[in-house]
Amino acid sequence: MKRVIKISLSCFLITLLFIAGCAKPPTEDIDSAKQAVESAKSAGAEKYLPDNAKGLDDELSAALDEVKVQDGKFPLLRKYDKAKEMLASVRTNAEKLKADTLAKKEEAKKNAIASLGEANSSISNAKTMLEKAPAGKETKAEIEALKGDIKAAEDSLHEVQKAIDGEDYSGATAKANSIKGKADSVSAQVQQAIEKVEAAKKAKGKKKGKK
Amino acid sequence: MQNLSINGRAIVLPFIFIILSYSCNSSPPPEIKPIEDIDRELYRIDADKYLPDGYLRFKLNIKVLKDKIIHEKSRFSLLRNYEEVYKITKGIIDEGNEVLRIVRTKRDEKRQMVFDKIKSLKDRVKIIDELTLKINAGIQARKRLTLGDLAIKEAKISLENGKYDSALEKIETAYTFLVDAEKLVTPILRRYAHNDLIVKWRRFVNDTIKESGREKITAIIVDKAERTLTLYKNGKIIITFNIGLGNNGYKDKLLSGDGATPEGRYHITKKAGEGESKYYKALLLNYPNQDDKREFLRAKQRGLISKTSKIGGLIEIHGGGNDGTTYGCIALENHDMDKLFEMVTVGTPVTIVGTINPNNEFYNSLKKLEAYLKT
Repeated sequence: MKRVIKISLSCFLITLLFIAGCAKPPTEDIDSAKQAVESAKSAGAEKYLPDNAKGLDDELSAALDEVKVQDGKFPLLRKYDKAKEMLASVRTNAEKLKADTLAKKEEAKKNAIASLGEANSSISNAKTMLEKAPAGKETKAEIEALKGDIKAAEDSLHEVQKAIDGEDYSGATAKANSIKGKADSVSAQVQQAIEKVEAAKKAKGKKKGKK
Repeated sequence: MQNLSINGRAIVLPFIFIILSYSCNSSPPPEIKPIEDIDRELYRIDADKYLPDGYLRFKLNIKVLKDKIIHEKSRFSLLRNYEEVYKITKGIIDEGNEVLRIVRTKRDEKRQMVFDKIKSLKDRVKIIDELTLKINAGIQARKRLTLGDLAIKEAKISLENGKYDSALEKIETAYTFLVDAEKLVTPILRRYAHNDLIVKWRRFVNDTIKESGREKITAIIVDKAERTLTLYKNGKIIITFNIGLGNNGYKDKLLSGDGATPEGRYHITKKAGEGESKYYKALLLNYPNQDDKREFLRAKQRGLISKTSKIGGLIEIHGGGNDGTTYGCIALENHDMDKLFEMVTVGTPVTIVGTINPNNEFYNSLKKLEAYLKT
């Protein structure tokens, strides 16, 4: 009987030692998961995909909590398998988030460049309209003022390029869109002036006809 | 078991306890997803900016809760007790919802504030736009007005994207540009609301009309605010023409190149017929007169203008159209110039004033702007 107990005890101790030997905190997994999250953030995740970045932070936090749960257990009972799985998932998701962020950033850049192009074309259109604007006495002062406005708007275009160069794509898009809005409103005002003059001409023609 | 020795029991019992610990499930930890959802929403709506203390407290309480859950989870399952954790969880959910409610309210208030500011600045742009057109303001005022307008448009985009702080920054930029534009415009307008000046201008006009009656001569009165040139003969109005002034025409001329139209009592020194003037026909005035020279020297002595400045000259009443493109002269339509040219001679008095009407349109525009600024 004693022999049986001795053998059982030995087996039990060996098993415990085996388990205890394997259950070390997954330090490397933690480091690599943290690194992957940082890398996604450095790529601009918090700016371009803030909700996803927050989700990833929470996921990392949950994984680290699981590590803490195991750390708090009796050494022989620690199991880090679940924590490792969670950390691996964080790593995978962080890599995906980084890729998504870069794609989103590229899309924002394209949008900013396209908006700059549209602003440029609206400025050109307004300038063309101003060139053919009626220079009558009722409209000349207004047209001169609008020419000044377009010049100021055109001068602001360089700020859009500056924002693009500084990777502030949303700022660049907003600037470009506001310049486009201004240029379009100038074009509309010139169009109104043209229509006003044409209406006046028609009215004059009718008066002459009556005489 | 009865056959087992004490040593044997000491070995077997922990075994049983461990097995039971693994196999028995105490009540599960509380679901903290609702808290995480609240936290995520608070993060999304920038709770740290709207209620920093409340949000920080909420975050700290989440940490305390998580530490407690970790602590309980780390214990043998038979010893786990989530009773207190459940209570804390409920408290944190309530706290989170309250923080969320306050942050949403504050955010709504901020959005409304940004919206109101943008609306108010748009009105301001409209008023300044009208003023600059009215006084034919120079390119600098228009440039600032446009830059202000662009900043307002950017603020509106930020508002639509829920970026209220960014919108407020743009509003601040717009405000600076609009104030600059106003600074360029209001001194011009204030002169037309200045009682002493109006009294002086009225005296000039009355004296000129009396002189016309007394001397039985023609005389010209130019009223800048009304944009009219009136010809008097024997003290009576003969005809009134519309005139054009330059970009700085509503200012009083001080030096060469300022584009302003002089104010004071002058007379015609030369009549330039067709072919003798760049602008169809012209009536040259004796600008600068003694008053102008005195003002110019005073400004120089006070350092208001550069020491190398010159007083300028060649101020005329000329043809070419009254569309407002002169550099200090007074422009008439050619057919009006023909009529005027025939009725005046060298020596005809020409009095140029800002206004004789205290209730002139610049005064009213200034009041409109001041009323807006008060609100």
